[in-house]
Amino acid sequence: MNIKKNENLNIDISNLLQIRVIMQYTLLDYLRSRRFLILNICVILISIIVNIIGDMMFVWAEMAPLIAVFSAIFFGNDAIVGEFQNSTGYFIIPNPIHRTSIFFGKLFAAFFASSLILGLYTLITLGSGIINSNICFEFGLSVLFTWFFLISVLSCVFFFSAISKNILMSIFLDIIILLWLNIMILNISGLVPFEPWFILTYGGQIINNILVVPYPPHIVIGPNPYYPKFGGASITVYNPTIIQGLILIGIYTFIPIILGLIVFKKREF
Amino acid sequence: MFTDLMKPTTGRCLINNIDIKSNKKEALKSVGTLIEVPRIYPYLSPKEALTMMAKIRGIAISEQKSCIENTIASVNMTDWTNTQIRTFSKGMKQRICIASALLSDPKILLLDEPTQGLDPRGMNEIRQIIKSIKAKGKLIFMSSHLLSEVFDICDEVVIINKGKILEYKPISDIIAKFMGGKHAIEIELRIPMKEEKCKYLINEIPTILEFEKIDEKHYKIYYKGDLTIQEKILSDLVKANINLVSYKSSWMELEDVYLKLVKDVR
Repeated sequence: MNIKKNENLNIDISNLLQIRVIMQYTLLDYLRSRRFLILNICVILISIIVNIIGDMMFVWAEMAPLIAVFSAIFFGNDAIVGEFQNSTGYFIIPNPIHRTSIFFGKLFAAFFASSLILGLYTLITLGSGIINSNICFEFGLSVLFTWFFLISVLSCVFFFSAISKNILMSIFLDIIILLWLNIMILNISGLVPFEPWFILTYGGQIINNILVVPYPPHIVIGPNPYYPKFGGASITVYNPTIIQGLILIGIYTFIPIILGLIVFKKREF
Repeated sequence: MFTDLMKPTTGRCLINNIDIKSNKKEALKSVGTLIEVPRIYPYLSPKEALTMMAKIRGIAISEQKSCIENTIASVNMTDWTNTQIRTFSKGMKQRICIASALLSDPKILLLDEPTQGLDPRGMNEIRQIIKSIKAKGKLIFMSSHLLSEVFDICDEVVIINKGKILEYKPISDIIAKFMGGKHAIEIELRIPMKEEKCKYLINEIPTILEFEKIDEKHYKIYYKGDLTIQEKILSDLVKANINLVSYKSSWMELEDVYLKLVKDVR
């Protein structure tokens, strides 16, 4: 081997630069992966189907959060647990880099990869909106909220990834908690009734509500279509205010990130 | 623990007097590591994976290209520089991992089971690379359950059982201590020979202390003394006309020491 001993081989490098490096190469790995291709194909197929049966702008608020959740699961579920299960951690961790830098590098990579998927859907919707001339200012806000929602979902996915023993368990937690449990609690809350102020999906409703003019009131009581088979005679719909939704999304962003990071820093191989 | 993969329950891990827990970046600056057979991001090429590592380790941009090219060449992977790692065999991946460990020309190398899970060819390739690194005067810490590998590569050995150090000495010293100063040599014969006949011939050589049959073509002999005695025995065995085809120091004696130590502890 012809390596000469050189002072330039060990320059001090900042944590931020290391985060950027991890992000850059993890993202490169994601962009070449099959999952990225699969998600892109899915988004294009969904867009075609929606365009055939209706207007993309009307279903934006239903589809965008779902695409955000699936993108986050696709890119984030194995980000931390994979380091342990697939032994990629053996390659990166025994280097002069803090685990915090690895964690945030991977989080940003997953965020950008998911953003590309969500961005594609947003662009198609925008294109459809321009063609049908039904774009409004609120759509811009809804897009912004969707991206906030994506960050909070990714944060939760990273937390589940950090606490899971294997990738399968991580996917199971993502699907059960982020999809099934959240939606179930939201539906039951209208029948019982109680305000589901503690679940992320409730906060995510601002993505839809912002498109309703005027913004829907906090509580709406209407007849229960399932009565008397299920629930009472009336059904209560709770709508979070924009501030309430943003606070909830914020809480679901920061707390899981902090907890996930603590677990990742303490976890042993 | 030295590589931040595990946390110490008590005590501290120091590398060059720097605590790994409180200052990991500084402590691991002069350390290259290879832990078993790690998985590298599958969709990256060796060049990209090593560029990532060069950037993480703080190798100056002006040096990165030459460093990467040299280390890739040193592990004989130049032809696959731009091929995605997912298409590689375990041995090829391991060579890239060794290149990564050598990238910043570290003073210390930590190798944990470097040949685990590799086929015989892959094992041999990795061992040759490690030997070439050793020849350049690097300090190498290698852990292995393959005692033949330890005997082949290492100068000093630490025998650990259930987290406790049982012995730490140069291999020759440890063998001399536990084998009563005796050394073992394995010989291989071209034509199988009855034990009695072989014993009769070998007994003619006074420097041989003991004799042990492995099978009719393989025997183990014990002697006391230095390399000149070993040379003399070889010469006498050739003269004894026993169809000798192989004559080598036996790593089995290291296994004997290991078993003895572990048995004593139990």
